Amino acid sequence: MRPCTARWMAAAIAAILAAQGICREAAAQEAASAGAKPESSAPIRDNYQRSLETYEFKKSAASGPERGREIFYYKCWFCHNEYTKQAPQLTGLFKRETLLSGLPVNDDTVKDRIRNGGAGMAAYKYTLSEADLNDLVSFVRDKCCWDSDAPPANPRYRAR
Amino acid sequence: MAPISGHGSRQGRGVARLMAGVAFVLLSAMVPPAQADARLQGGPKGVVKSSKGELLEGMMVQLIAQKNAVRTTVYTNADGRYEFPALDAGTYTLRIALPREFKPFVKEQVEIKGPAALADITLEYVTDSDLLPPRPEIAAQMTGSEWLLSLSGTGEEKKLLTNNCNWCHSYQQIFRNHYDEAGWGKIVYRMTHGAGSPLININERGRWDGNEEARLVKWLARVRGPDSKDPSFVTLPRPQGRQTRVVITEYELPRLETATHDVSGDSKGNLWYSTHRSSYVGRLDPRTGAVKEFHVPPVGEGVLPGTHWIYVDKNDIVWGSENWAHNIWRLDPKTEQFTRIPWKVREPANTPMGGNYAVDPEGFIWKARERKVSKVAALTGEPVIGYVLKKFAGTYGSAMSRDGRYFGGGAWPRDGVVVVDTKTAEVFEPDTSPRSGPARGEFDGDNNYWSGGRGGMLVKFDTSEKRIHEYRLPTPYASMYSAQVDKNGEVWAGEMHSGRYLRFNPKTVAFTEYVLPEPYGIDRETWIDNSTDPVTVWYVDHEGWLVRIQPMD
Repeated sequence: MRPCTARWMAAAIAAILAAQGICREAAAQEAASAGAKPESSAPIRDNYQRSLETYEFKKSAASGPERGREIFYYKCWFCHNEYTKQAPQLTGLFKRETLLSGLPVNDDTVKDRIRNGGAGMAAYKYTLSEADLNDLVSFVRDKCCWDSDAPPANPRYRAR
Repeated sequence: MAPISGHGSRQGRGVARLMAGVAFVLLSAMVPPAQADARLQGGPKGVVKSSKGELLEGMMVQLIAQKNAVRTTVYTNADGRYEFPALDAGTYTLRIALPREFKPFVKEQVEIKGPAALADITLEYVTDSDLLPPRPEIAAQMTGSEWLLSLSGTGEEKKLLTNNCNWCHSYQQIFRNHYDEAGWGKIVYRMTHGAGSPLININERGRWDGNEEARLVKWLARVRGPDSKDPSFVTLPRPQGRQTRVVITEYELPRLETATHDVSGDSKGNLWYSTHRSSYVGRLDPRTGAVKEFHVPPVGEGVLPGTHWIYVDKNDIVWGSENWAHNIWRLDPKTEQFTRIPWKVREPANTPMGGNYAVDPEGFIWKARERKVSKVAALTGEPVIGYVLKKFAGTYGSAMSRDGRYFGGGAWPRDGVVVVDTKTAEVFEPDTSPRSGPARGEFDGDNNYWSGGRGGMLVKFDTSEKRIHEYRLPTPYASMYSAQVDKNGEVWAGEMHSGRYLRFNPKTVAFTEYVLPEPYGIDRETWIDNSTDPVTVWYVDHEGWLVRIQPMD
């Protein structure tokens, strides 16, 4: 929290509570917990925070084609889905000989296409890392594409 | 109409608005402390403090059960103390949710048995600065409101985004990206010209003025361009006072990326949820965290499956609307049989069929489309009676008063509400503030209609006064989609993008904003369990988990 905000809040709290006549004593500075040895743990990251997994496209997996599926859903599916008419279908892409550009289909040419975009497609080179591209292309090559009738399992779900 | 066999399966402006927000938080914090609900205490307890010895208020302490992944979150009070409700004995993960200005705290394999005191939790600050550093693990904890407070840009530029991009996804989904101007242009085009959330059908005309579209693209390219640096983050205050007297429980669901949408409870204490972009609906048993999935039978070739509105009637029959395939379905959970009722609309497949629905006490479905509020026979889809609208084309939300007399809904696509008194046949179509965007809502016990506004405005149509009252959300850049009213007349609504959940007392005009353990709070619909005291509030987050909110007072 910004100090100015904190100071403003502190002043406002004191003023308002004092004006209301309900100001209580400042919080004790010593914990009176029955706990014994204090717990201090400072990992760099907490993967239980779902928003961090969302931020990094790691809800399904930390890497590999399953992570690629997640990237595909957010970065590709909304144009290259099985219902739209305005963008090429990507199912079986690696079984085709060439891309629409005429270049042969392989990991490098597909990555280049994603990096640099095309007529209706943004250039993703500023937002997807090499690791992202590797995972995404592994999915497009081996497991493509999305199936709305069978969305991926949530690995966190374990109630039975 | 024919039965279809289904199967169940197991599977700048910132500071001013920030100060205004703080003032409201302070007001909510001034609500006198009440006796805590004994149901919600009696479990593990402890203290959270900083490494400097400060006792920390408003920290979210969370236990995740190893057996079913259910997450229970409680909040520290002004003395840094927290106390969980009684939990099943077992192994848990203890953590601090959204530690933000503190380094993460995670402790695995914590054995819980009864109300034992846990060791003190000591948190280390991530920085001595007044702003949080722009690292991914920090950025991922920021709400949409905090992103917008932190990014450079004029109020007008930010309004372009909040007025036009606040419906379908979190702001983080935008701001985690970098594109050049051409790239942003292509993405904004697709987003604003595509129909509904899947963007399958493209309308060249688009939803808004092309100049505005170009201005938004330029701003995005400036703040999220190839060379843009991530901002240091301004943060909203932690919970204080009454905001800390709540227990929040989160339930995992079996699948990812389904666009979970609505929630409704049955008479047995189960919660039903819909998924807007998949073939499944689910039933959660909150006692175990287990979900039974029901596979909605296939839709037509070339049509996206997905259920938007879901409603459990008094006989525990479940109703849903297929927004892309344009049907209403009926599910009898005992037989697991789905029945489809084609919903004769003009829109092409894969374009939203328009709004949501209400079921009256006699079992008729109500909707407002094509300049008419209609009462429809549920099993045939045939209209029984209609009330002509003079101003608005229809409504997005639909609600019936508890006595079945009034219909209400937020006007679509304009700013206003529609209320019909079916007893007198009077039709009211009042305007609301520009960009207030009332969407879905509910009637209170006095037959006043409440609606959650996408522009961050809570809207009330007072049926006695025949006039609109508006209440703006305290937190900047927050948005609403729906509002529900409990048995005591208090209004509940998810605050999208602020990571908060609103409780509003109309009698005192007091806002209480409960801070959620995850930062987006994309709430499509709320269901209130009025059988408890205080009430229990449920919503399913569009990001994919089901949330229970239990206030202690």
